[in-house]
Amino acid sequence: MKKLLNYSLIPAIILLMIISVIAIRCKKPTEGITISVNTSGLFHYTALVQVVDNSGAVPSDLTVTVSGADAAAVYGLDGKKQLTAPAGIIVAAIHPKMEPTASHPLNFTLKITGPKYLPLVVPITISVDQKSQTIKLPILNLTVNTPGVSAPVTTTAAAVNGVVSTTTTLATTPAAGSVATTSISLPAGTQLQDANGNAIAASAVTVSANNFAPSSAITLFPGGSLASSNVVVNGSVTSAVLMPAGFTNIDMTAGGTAVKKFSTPIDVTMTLDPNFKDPNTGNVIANGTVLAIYSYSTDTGQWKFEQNGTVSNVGGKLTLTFQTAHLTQFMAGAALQLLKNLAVAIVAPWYTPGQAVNIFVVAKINNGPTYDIYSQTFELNADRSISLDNKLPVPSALSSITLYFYDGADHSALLGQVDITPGSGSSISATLSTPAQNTSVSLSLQLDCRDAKQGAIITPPDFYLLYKKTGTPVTSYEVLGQVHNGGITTKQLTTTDAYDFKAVFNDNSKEVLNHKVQTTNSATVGNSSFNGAVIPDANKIAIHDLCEKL
Amino acid sequence: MEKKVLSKILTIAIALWGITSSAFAQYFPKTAFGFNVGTQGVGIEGKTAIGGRFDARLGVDIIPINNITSTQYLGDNQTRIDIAPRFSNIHLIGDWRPFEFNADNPLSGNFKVSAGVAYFVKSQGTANIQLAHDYQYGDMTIPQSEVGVVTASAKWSHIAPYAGLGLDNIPVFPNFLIGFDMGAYYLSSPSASITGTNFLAGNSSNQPILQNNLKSYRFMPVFQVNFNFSIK
Repeated sequence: MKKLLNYSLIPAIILLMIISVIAIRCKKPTEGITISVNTSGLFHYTALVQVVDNSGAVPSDLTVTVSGADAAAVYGLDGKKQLTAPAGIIVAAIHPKMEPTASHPLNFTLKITGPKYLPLVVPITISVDQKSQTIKLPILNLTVNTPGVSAPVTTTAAAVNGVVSTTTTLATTPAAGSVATTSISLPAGTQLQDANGNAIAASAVTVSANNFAPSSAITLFPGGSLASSNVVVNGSVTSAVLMPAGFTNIDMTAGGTAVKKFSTPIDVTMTLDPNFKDPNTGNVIANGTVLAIYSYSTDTGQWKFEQNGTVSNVGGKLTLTFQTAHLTQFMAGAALQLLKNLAVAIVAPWYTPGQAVNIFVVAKINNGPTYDIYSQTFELNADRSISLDNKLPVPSALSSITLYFYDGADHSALLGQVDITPGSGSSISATLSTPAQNTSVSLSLQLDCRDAKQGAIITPPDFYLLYKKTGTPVTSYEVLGQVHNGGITTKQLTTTDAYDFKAVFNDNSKEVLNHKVQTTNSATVGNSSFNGAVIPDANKIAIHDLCEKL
Repeated sequence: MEKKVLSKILTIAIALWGITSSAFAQYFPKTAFGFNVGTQGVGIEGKTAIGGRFDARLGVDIIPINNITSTQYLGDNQTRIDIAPRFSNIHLIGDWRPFEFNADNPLSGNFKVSAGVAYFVKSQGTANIQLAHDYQYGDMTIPQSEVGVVTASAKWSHIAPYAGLGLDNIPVFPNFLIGFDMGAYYLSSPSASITGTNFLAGNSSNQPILQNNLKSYRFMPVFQVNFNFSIK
């Protein structure tokens, strides 16, 4: 037995020990490896709604609700159902399992409310060939003067148990450079009612109104678009493009309850744009012209034909008076048939797919009102196509439509234009000249989440990046593009100007101010990486919180 | 190599060693043919005496394991890892019995020192890593099958020298011998790669970490039991 040990077992044990030592000193193959899920590219369809306050303030305390037939398909870029509007930026992303098809575009509505703002309802259509769109809209700040909008006027009338005691009239003061006003006459004996028709027992009623001059405030038109697929005419829902000669918003509250209905109709008189040309006739309105009156519900985003009204010349001003038994927003003007389908093929040999290039598209109607009937920013895509489904009126021989294509970085640089005529059909092409192109600039960003649950440096999910030149007002922010896989390449920036950047990821919004870019820019932010020079501690905490949310 | 597999093979080897110890005797076939099982897999082998206390063995081995599955947290995510080891080799090994047979020590003549070389037809391991569950992104659920797959692989060189010890030619029945080998193939430092698909595409940044973790994985241990039939 002793010799057995000497001759074989001992060497075997030694060998086993050597091998064991070798095995022990080996690291576990997965040591330090982290598997991260990068959701960049999860969403194929997004719409960015940029709400701006024309007073120059950054919109705040906004609440967003989504409704409509396809509301279930709408998520934030962070995958949350609840959309938010940090600094007025809202991104609606479509669930990848509920994307639009050629036969079924998605329709939903965003209702944006805030304590000092007139509710804004934005209908959005996502068509199969429109993967990205940007809608920039002003929201009316009721606490400040806004160009083209009469200063908010409020008066209070006495009431007994919700019955107006004495006839009360309110008239708005025209905005600077405008003659547009709205006057409201509330007859004595009128019973005030809520939205359900219930009498409101209050001792006073407060009346306020805003009047809009379409020529300078058309972007404040209810719904954010002249086109609507939700228009009720004689009890049936249809679609139309509404072109206002004037529009107004009237609010009343009694005892803290919104007054929505009356026992007897009240009189409303609004002045009209004297230069409004009815696209149905090609004639400028005058005394005796008949216009359609529509009301708008901010609750449902629905227009409703109320009645026709006749234009009067009162003291040299063109006005239209009508009666209504309910309160909301009203417009008087023309209605045109909605063009259901229009695809625009962009001919742009200079465009390199992968570069973030934005085109600002404006539509004007010939022989109609002078204001823009449509405007929107599009990011060019590899398909080089733009969908204008349900955005424009059907062109007629009298009133054709012209599309203007501007450089998204410089709205005064016209790249091309194309007419839409009755013979255009559902598709047209537009050739765009080469925009002023700067040196290609690439930006890339990584998140240092090593101190968060990921324990690693990760690629951020897709988000939107906006920019403006430093020193310009916050309303000047324009979308630079969507950041995929943490990166974006663009020729919209120069290496000589300083810019303010704003990154938006649903309820997270972050600004980088007064920053000059290089041709190649990369940064890893958070944790022990770069956290900025101004408020590094706050940035570090914010990025950590973001990592934990992902 | 999985610890459980090693443990089982060692247990079997030691048990066989004990069972057969009483039958040790001096017997050196000139030519034998047999099969083996061990940490290097299963294989067949031919052996011939080449003079004195020298033998030469030529054989092939293959690890017949298809997949080994485990779950593990890699960072924040619980993952399911399917490992597919793919090792097969053709080897030529020389054995030298340093001790003469000694009737006082039944094992003395069976002890051998081995050295040789193997050509690994396959010498790689691949791990497919998926999330163990569906992925929750905000209020959205991304099915596990759509999240993607991370494929981590390690490849070693084809040529590897071998060194080891063992006991050989232990008769159990007439013309039926068993033996044991313990040793290791010395492989190159592996080249590692990591690629991902879908939402796991960004995980290739782990490649340097895996490469570093595997750089010491150069010894392929061999704990092997041989079953040989003497031909003449």
